[in-house]
Amino acid sequence: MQNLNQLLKILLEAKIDFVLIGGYAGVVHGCSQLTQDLDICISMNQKSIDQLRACLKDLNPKLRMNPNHKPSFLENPKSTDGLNAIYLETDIGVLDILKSVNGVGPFEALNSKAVIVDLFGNPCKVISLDHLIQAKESMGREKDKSILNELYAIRDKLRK
Amino acid sequence: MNKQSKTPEIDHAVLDYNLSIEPSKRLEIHQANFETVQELKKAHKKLYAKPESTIKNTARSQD
Repeated sequence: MQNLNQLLKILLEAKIDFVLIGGYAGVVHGCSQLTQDLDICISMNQKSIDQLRACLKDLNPKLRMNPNHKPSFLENPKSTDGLNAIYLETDIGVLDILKSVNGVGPFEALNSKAVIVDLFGNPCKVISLDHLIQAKESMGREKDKSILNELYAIRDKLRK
Repeated sequence: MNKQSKTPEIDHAVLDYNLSIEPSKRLEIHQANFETVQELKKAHKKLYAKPESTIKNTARSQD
């Protein structure tokens, strides 16, 4: 059974330098929408990839973009050159690793405004509410409309 | 026919509740809700699965 909280705890306990983004970050900010994957933004370099491989090694991480061929993340990709995203499936859930976020920018831009939230006893960097709204607005997807409305409402409630 | 999607109304009570609890608790609730949905999907699939005999009969009627 998928357990994104467990997946998140593993990343946090391994001290991976990431910013939590996407729908799960929305849940941290207070959204009620269900999401089926964990999205993180990292500085896409060999050190980060090695750290991710080490902490995910027991979870059977595989690259999932080709349904007929899912190579192990433990050996692929071979290099981080030109790598913008890694889409993984693991035994406990789907993990998307991005180098940048549409409408906001690369890891460094997110990192500078990220909020530190205590999650399961660990400090976790989470994309700021304003950046998350910016990211969802820039994608303009139909499926993001309801989460965007919740994010606007949460922003209004926090300002009051 | 033009298919129009309608954005669901915001449930302010749920958002107020979420904002009143710790972020870790929000994630625990999310996981519990996710598991409930999976169970419901499984039950729905089981309930509406075609019995094997029906599948065989359908196949035969197409011969």
